[in-house]
Amino acid sequence: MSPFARRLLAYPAYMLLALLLSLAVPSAPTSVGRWIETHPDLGGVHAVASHPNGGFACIDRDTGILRVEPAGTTLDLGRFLHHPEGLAIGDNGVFFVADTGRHRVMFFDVDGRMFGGCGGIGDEDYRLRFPAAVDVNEDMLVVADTGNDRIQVYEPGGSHIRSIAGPPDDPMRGPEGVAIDEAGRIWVADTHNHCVRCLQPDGTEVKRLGSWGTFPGQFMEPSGIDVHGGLVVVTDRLNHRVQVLSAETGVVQESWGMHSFKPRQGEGRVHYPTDAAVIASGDIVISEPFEERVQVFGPTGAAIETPAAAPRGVQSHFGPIVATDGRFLCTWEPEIRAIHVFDLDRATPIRLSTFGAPGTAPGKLGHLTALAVDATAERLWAIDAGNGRVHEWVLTPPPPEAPRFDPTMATLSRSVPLESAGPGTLLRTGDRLVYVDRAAGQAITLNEDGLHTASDVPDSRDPAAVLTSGADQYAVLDASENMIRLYDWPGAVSPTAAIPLDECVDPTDLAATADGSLVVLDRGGHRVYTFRPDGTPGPGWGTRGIDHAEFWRPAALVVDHQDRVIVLDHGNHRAQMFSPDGDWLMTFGTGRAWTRRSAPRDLPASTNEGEAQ
Amino acid sequence: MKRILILALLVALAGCQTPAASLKTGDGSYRVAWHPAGEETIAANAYFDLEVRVTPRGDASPPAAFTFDATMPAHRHGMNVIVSAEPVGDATWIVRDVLLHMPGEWALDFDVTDDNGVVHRAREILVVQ
Repeated sequence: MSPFARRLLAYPAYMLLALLLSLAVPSAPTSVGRWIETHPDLGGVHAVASHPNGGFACIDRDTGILRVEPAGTTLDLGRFLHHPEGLAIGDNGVFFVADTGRHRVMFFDVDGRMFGGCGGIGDEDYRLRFPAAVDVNEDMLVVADTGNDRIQVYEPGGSHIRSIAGPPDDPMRGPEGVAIDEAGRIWVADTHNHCVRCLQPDGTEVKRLGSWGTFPGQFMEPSGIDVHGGLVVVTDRLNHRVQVLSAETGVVQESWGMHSFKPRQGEGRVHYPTDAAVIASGDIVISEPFEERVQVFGPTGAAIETPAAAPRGVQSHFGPIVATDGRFLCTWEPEIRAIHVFDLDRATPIRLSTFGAPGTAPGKLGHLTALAVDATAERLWAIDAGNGRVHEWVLTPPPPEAPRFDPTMATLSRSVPLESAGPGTLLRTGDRLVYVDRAAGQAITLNEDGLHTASDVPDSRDPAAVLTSGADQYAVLDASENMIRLYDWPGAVSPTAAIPLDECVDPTDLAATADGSLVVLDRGGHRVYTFRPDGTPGPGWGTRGIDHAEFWRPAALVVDHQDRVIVLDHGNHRAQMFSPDGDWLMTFGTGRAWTRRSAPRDLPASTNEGEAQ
Repeated sequence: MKRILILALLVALAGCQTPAASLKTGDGSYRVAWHPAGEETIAANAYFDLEVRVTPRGDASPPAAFTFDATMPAHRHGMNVIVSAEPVGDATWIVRDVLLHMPGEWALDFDVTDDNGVVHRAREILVVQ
């Protein structure tokens, strides 16, 4: 028999052996990272929770509307809530909502009737500051007390049990996610430490997983967490992915998600996810307020397509804060923990510098919440809520006639501890630096010696933005009541005027043009409103979209020294520039810009849509 | 012979630096004097120690702590070693085993912490060959 014939006869034996082996080796576990469906147009849907009906519930941060799926029922809780960001559901169907903007947790029955709550603003043991997440079992209600850098444990009825802040030398920083596992352990998405902690109910730390980074098992701002069946599901916000880890070993079991290449891309692309819930079927539900949607993943879904190459565009990861003065425009890129400085003297912005690096050491950046710049003094400041500091840099810019990129243009001058660093506004008025603490409603003057003096911002429950107008007046945007109030500076306690913002869904930022008109940014409404100095409505512009002069959840605005309105079009990863009347001038990122000469020809000559109502 | 000497001098200058400097922190509160300890040059990818002396200016309090770091701003990275500053008394610190592992522009950051926890930074830009 020839060797070839012997090999041919042996072939069935090999096949039989392979078949037996394949039967003997268990098959790989089924992937849960497969896309099942998308629920679109849910507004600022910030939180999801498993529902006893086998589906899930989610809540819209902008409107307070709670939706239950698959029933499709809604509860309008907006009149009780302000910017709710967390949701949990008891076995009896009771809703526990983190009422983030009012610093409390509210309890609702299945029909949406409020029957209790806990918290209230403060840093005492039982109080809360910007709570961003909640979970509940039959023994306890656990709240991520984000603004106080700790976890609060209450009885399900709302009586306080204990606070857990972590070890004094390694405290939590801005935790935004909590979950209780079947054994009663508490899992925390310790967002600004970029890790996950597992705690016993008494606060003893059992284990810690992850650190800042992009490799599997690392996190960049873990935001939401759920635990079920020995698996920990984490939304890894700045990595735009979901990671599933073994609760026992901490080893990554699965990871999926990728930043979208095209605007609004879904079906497996994940964009700034905020929360995760494992529902009864084992499927995983993810909320993405940036995309105003919820996505469901599970073993029965479709494989997520791997993209080829990213298209070109003007996209940049501008964060939600901006500052300008004179020739400078400063923005923040959370993904790389860096600040961009642009020169606004030319027709299009020119990037002068990008500086900063993640970390907690001196000069490193955590989580920036406000910027201020002084072109005359050539100084830049940032509130770093992640590190509890105010940083000050000296700018040494190139001459205006020869702008060029210089990575060493900004040198840290000093970094001052600021315990109350959090969401707020940073103002440069004359030679004073003032930080308005949004949670406390206090204006804190930052002195040269590193010490601070505080005074109350009158009449404001949620000063989302504060603006000085000349030397003798200031304006406060109260997001809690959709109202602008004007005061004489300093020391006034009663407003001289008030402008209601009835049309705004989520007023976010405020600026003033050269003629004293006020410009208001409505993140939830994707729109800019203006008001003339006498308070009457002026032009308004913008709709939800991805084209020039359209917005997707815009986050901040300023008016520059050429009286141009610059809007950080956060959801479209770009900035846009307009005349004070709303005429589109350009769209730009860190490296490219579209102007009227380079933009598509069908752009309308005037983009504003008439008078605001 | 003269040409050879000049060439040798240029090569030496291009290959290394012999820096020592006295800087003020950005807000002028402290003076930071530094020099390589026990080495005459700072060259790329060669370990060296730094001796740093901090002097308060005006009514600034004595330094409560001192740290050192070095980065390459244009490349957005730092050193690939972790260094610590060892106090040796008289407001002086020794930073051991500094390694600037690449040629190019390095920023040396000297951070002085006062007794209020405020960090004051002095920065030196150094081109390493």
